[in-house]
Amino acid sequence: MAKKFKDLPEECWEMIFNRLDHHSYFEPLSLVCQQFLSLTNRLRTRLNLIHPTILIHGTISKLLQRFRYLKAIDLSNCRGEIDDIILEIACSSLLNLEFIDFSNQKSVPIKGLIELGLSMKSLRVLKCANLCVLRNSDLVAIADSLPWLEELDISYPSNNFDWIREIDVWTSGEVGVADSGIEALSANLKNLHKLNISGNHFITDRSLVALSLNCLLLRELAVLDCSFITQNGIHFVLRNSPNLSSISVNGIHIPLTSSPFEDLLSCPRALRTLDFYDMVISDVFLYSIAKASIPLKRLSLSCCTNFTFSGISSLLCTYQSLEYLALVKVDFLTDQYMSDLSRYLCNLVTIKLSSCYKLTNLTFFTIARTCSLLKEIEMKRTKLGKEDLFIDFTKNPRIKCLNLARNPYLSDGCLKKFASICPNLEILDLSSCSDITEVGIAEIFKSCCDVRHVQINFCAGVKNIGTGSELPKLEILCAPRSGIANEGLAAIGKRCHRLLKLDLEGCVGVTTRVVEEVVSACETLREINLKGCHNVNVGIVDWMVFSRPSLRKIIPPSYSSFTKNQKNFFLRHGSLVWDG
Amino acid sequence: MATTTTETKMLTLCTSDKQQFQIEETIALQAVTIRNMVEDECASNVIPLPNVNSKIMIQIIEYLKKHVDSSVSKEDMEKFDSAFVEKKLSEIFDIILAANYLNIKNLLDICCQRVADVMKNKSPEWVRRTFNIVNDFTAEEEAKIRKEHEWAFEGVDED
Repeated sequence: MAKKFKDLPEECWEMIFNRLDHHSYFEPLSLVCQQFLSLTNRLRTRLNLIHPTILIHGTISKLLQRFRYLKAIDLSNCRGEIDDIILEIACSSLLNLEFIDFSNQKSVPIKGLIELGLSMKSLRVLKCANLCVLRNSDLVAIADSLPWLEELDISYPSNNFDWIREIDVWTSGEVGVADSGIEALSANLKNLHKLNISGNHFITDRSLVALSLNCLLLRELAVLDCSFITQNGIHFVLRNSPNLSSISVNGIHIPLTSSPFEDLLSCPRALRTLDFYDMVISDVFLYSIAKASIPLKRLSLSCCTNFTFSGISSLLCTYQSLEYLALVKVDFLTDQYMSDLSRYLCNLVTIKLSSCYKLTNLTFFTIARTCSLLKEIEMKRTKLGKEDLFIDFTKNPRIKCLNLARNPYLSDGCLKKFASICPNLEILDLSSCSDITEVGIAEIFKSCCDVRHVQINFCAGVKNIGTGSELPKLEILCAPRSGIANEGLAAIGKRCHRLLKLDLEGCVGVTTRVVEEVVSACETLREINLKGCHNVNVGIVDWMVFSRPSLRKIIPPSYSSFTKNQKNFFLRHGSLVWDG
Repeated sequence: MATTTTETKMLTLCTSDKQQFQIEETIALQAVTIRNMVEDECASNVIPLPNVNSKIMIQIIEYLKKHVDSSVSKEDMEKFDSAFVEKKLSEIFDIILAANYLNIKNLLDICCQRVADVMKNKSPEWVRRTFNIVNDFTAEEEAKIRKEHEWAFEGVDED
C-alpha cells in the first residue's frame, strides 16, 4: 500500500480532492503531509472570512498568499473594517478572483473598490445585499470602478433614515437608490448579465427601461418587493431584453387584458426561469405563457391568486421539460389535481408544494412514482399523514432531500413508508411535526443509510434516534427543543461518531455527563449548541474547548456566562463561544 | 446476425505481466488512449499496456463491457457502478492508476469519488494510517500549520 500511495500521480489526488464537496474537508487533509498541504492550498477556491479569522490572524494577507488560486471571497459574515480588508485583497497577487461578497456590511467600501478596479480585472461578480446604507452615489462608484462587472446584487438595503430630521430636503437618490442611480449604473455596466435590485423601494419602471435598453446582455433579473414596479415595466423588459432567461417579480397585479406574453414574437426566446410571488394572475396569463413556447425549465407560482387548474394544467402540459416547479400556497390543489398534473412532470428534479393544505400522502406517492428524476420534495404545511390508504408504492432511488416540516398529521407509519420509498435520502427536515416519535426516526435511520442531515426541531415526541449500527454518514443533527434527553443523547453518542454539528438548544433533559460522552465520541465535531440546556454545567465549555480541538462554535447553556476576556481566550484556542 | 459476429473487429491487449486479452474493438475504444493508438495506426495487432497488470485489466474489461452495452438503463448502470467500486482501497488505487493511463473518464470519476468519500471528514491521523502516508512535517511545522489553519476553513458555501 505504501508503494501504491507514492505511485498515484498528483493529478489523481487532485481529482480526488476536487470531489470533496466543501473546503472544510481540506482542513484535516492539509495536515497529513507536505504534498497534501500544497495540493489543498492550490485547490482552495473559496474563502469565507468570519470575524474570528480576522481577530486571530489580524490580517488576511497571509491567507491570501497561501491560497493563491482563490476565485471567491465571502465577507458577508465579517464584522470590522471592511474597507481595509478590500484594500488587502486589492494589493494581493490573487490572479483568479472573480467573486466578492460584502453583503450585510454598513456601506459600500468605495476606497477599496477603486483600488480593486485598478488591480483585479478578473472580478466579475459583486454581491452587496442587505447593506445598512446604499445610495445612488454608491452605485455610481461601483459602476465607475468596476465597469466590466457581469453580476451584481444590490438587493434589500436597510437604509434606515431615522437620523435624518428634515427628510424633505433630501432627494430619494441621496437617502436610497432611485431611478437615476440605476440609470447611471446601467449606462456603465454594459456587460451586466445578472442583476438583483429587489427591495429598493424608490425605483420605478424607469429603472427597468434603462436596464433593458443599456444592458443588452442581461440574462437574469430579480425585482422583488419594489412597490413602484408595474406590469408595464415588466412588459417592457420582456419585450426589449432579447437575452433574458430568468425573471423574478412579485406583488404585481396583471390585468386580464394585458399579459406580457401576449405578443408571442416579442418575448425573450431564452426565457428559462419564471418566478412569480404574491401576484394576482389569471388563467389567461398562464395560457399566454404556454403559447409563448419558451425553453422554460423553472417555474415558481408562490402565493399567487386568481388562476385555476385549467391554467396551470395547460402551462405544465406545454412545458414538460420543466425541472423545477414551485406551487406554493395554491389553495385549490388537491391530490386528484396533482395526479392529473404529474404526468406532465417527468423531467422534474425539484418540486415544492408547501402550504397546499389539501395535499396528502397520495400526492407524495404519486410524484415519487411518476417523477423518476426527482431529487427534492418540499411539502411543508400540508395534510401529509391523512388519506393513508395502502397503495403499491415504488422506490425512487433518486430522491435525496425531503422537507416535510410543519405537518401536524405526519405519523411514524407514514414516515416508515416515505423512508422505504426514498432509500437514498440524504437530507430530511421534520421540524415541528408534532406526531412523530422516535419510532419514525428509527425507521428513517434503518432504511436510509445515506442520511447526512436531519432536522427535528420542536419534535417533542422524538426522545431517541433508536438503536442499531453506527451512522457514519450523519453529519448534522439539529434537535433543538425536541424530546431528546439523556437516554437519546447517549444513543447519539454511540451511533453518530461523524457529527459535525449538533444542536440541542432547549433540551432540558440532557446533563453534563452525557454531553461530555457525546463530545468525546465525535472526533470531528465543529459546532454544538447547548443554549437553554439548564442541566448542563457551564464549566463544560472550558472542558470542550481544550479536549475537542475540532470545535469551532460553542453556544453555552446560559446567557453571558463568560466575560469578553474569557471568550477571547477560548477563541485563541480555536473555539468561538457565543452568548447563550 | 451471424455475419455481424464474424465482422466484429477484435483487438489484442497485452498487459505488463505479458498476458494477452482479446476484446472487441468497440469495447476497447472507450479508453481514449487505446483509441488514439488505433487512430494513429501506431498500434500493431497487439497493443502493449505496460502500466496495467492482468488482474486489473480483467476488472477494467468488466467495466468497459458493461458500459458499451446501450441496452442497460441509466439506473442499472448506476447500480453497477456503485457495486463496482465496492473494492479494497488498494485495488481502487490500482484501477485509478490504470484508468488514468488508459484515459477512461467515467471509471476514473467513480473511483476518485470512492476515495473522496472515504477521506471525507476524517482526522489527519486516520488518513495517514489508512493510506499509509508518512508524516513528513516536523512537530513545529505541524503546530504552525494548525495555528494558521484556525478559522481559515469556515463558512457554508451557497453553491
